[in-house]
Amino acid sequence: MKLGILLTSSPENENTNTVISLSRSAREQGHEVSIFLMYDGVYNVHKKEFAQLADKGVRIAVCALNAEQRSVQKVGGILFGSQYDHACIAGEVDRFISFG
Amino acid sequence: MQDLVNMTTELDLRGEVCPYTFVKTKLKLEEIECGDELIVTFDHAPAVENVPRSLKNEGHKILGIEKKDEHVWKVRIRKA
Repeated sequence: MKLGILLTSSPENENTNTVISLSRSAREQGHEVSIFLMYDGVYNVHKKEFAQLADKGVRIAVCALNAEQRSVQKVGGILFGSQYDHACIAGEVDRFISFG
Repeated sequence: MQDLVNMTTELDLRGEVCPYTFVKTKLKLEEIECGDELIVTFDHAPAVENVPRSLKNEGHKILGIEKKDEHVWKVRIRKA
């Protein structure tokens, strides 16, 4: 199954740990996972757990505009994209879950 | 011969940010003929990376990206 996740809350929110645990479990079960970070969700991009998820094959994209507005620096291996990438994820996946 | 009949259209998107940079470019592409060229001016750096990447994904050809000054770029697109 292809799973898409939108995360719009900042790292101190419980959503972050939920997204990390859900994505990790889904990957371990062989599912494809794509995460899009926007609004304050872009702050999560510097958490080491997200780098670990990317290493495990989770596709992570960040809203470049929201990152620029919040002075969030780019991270290697993670796409600093646009709402087009968000739309592509939503269009490709079997299930899409929004955390915000 | 084909190039002689292709038209070039310009679109100024200075002041626009995502997602309008992509949306307005896509809408303009819908107005022109296949093979015609669209030149879009941006002043938002992320758009200069993301709009061409998205358009390539849609099958269009990026003919070039020219930096006009510190914050202005022109992107040349050939409609597929």
